[in-house]
Amino acid sequence: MNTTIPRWILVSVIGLTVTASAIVLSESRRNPVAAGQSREFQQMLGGLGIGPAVDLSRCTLAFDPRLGPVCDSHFGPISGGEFVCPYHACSVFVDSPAVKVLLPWSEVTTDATVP
Amino acid sequence: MRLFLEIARTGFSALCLHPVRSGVTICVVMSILVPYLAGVGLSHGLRDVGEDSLRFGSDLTVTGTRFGRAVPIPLSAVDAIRRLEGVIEVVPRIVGALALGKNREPAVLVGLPRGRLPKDVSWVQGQFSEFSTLNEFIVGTQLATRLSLEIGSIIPPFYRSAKGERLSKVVGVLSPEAPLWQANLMLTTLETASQVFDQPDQVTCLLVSCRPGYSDQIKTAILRMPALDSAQGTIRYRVASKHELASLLPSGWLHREGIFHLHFVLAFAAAILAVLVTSGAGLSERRREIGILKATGWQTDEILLRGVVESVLLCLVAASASIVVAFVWLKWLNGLWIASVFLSGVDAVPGFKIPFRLVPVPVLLAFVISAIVVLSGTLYPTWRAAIVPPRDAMR
Amino acid sequence: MSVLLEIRNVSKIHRPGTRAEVRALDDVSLSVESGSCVAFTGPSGSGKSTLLALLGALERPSHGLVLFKDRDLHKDSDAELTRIRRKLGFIFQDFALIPSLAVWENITYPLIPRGMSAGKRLTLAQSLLDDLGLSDKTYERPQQLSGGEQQRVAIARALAGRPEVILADEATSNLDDAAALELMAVLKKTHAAGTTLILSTHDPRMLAMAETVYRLNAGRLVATNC
Repeated sequence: MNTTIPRWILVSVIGLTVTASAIVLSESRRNPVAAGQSREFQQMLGGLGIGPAVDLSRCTLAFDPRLGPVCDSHFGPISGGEFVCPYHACSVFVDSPAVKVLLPWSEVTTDATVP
Repeated sequence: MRLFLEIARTGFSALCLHPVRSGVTICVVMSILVPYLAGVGLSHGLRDVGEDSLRFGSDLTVTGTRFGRAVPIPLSAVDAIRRLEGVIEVVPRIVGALALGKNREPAVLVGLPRGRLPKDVSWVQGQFSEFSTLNEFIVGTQLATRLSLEIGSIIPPFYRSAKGERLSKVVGVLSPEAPLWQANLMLTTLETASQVFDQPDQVTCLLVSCRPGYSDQIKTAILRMPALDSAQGTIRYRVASKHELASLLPSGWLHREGIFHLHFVLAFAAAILAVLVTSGAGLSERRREIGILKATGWQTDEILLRGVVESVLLCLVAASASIVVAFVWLKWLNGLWIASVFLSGVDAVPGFKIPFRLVPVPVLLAFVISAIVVLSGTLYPTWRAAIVPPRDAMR
Repeated sequence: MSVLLEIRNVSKIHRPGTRAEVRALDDVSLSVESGSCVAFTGPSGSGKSTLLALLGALERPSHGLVLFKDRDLHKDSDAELTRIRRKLGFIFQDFALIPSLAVWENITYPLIPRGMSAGKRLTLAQSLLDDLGLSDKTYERPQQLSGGEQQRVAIARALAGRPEVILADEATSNLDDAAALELMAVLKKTHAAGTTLILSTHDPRMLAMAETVYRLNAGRLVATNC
């Protein structure tokens, strides 16, 4: 131990920081090959999948809200249950009111009025 | 300034004064930061591919609705929509759920007109034949792994249809590099999908491409079209446009990953306590050391400066190491286990390349959070030891 | 000679107001002149170490005044007390060395806040270790040294800041005869150079060094031997 900074600590800290910075710099941009494949895939299939699920066995909304705007787990008997659907609340679809735009009655643009 | 630097240097070297304490503190911070960074990285990757799905998908998605639920739509609707002004193309598509094999592996069957199916693309190995008496499928990587399927595999009849069942053949496997929704995909022709689900002349959605600026007008026109009659009753149209779907991907920190962040706020609070306990474990030795420093002429603020430098270095090391480990976890271990936590239906060892992106803001946030955790956990005991008379601290 | 340190009617009560209350010092008054050598003796628990800690600004009295060059330490801020400690050199009974620091760093660590560079500190430490016969121990850790050697390192640390006063608390109690004699030789040399010495000890050889010996019992000053 030294009050002069031990070389291995200095090298380790600087090395680790530089490596972490380099990772963030390189990984903050998308891989162009993956982006190209993603584009081709979606163009061909007309847009398939948005959410954090890879099958339709649980919550359709989690796979792709275009296929079904309602999550069966969405309106549970639990207070605040709309936030506890484990399949669509985890990553992308948190703001559940936004899902309302896809409900069939969303085209009603004015509130009812009393004559 | 020179005095400041001299004291700061002692903070740097103090990392080794209590190696166990430093190591435990770094480990506590990393145990919180690594899953946080990996989770946020996954979320950003997922958002990227989700945005691709919106950007490169159809302008409008038309489905049928009955009792507020999505139902199939008759193929006859294709011609009616195609005639609307501004419509470029209407593609019927079937998307349905299946379960295959002894273990009832879930699959997503997608049927498209033969002309839309892939030919010579980098993300598919194999292709459909022009004429075949068998059902032909291109399957996703995870499904292929789960069911031990490869090109040429024959799948015995797995459905019941009024027209009779046929053998199915795997003619292609999707690349693990393709977007994650390919994982359990079974891609086939519209006719085959229709036969598998035994729903002749019905599709689950119509993909409508519009001329620029016509999207809203066409949506309104479709919604005003007369309801469709079917044997089961009246079917009304439901239309989802790109911008409506885009609202499902809010970019604000307060909306996206909200629950995930909330969980981690709680975890960070727990980490502060853990670091406090860690500091407490070595406190008698540390208290004595601070007492000696005070007795030999160190001021309280000089001791605190030394502690701050030590803590900032600890959090720098912890945050940097967390970024490196999160990167290794996502890139080389392909999100082993954590992907199955964040993505529904994914194996512990994902059968496809998981999307991720380590963006600077969460990383900086991670550094700030680790600084808060370490500073709260270490500076408080240091300050407590530094303000008592040196003789008490040395006892 | 002028009065360097003085205490007037000083009492020190540990854990006041509790059942475990201990009156470590009770109404003690004395003065220490500049350049003198003063010793405190008495049985264990008589308050010698507490008295030394008060004179060394390591703690504050419960009652009474502690004056350093006529300045009341009781009224000084924590920062001022620390500045005064820089003028004092303390030798602790248990050496109080930091185990993870090398010998030279232990000696000169107190000089870091005074802005001395690492190079100058190393030179100073080597010079002090030469004087104390420990020149080959510069880069050793304290736990690698014998008790006598550790005590000499503690002396070197006390001397490094060129203090006006050296306070030694039972400095020979953990040492064998040879080491104790070595220590006393160093202290005599330091005293001869004009440094004030304040000793707390049972050791008659150390007491013989002192010009004034104060005897304490149960926290009270019971005898003075000039």
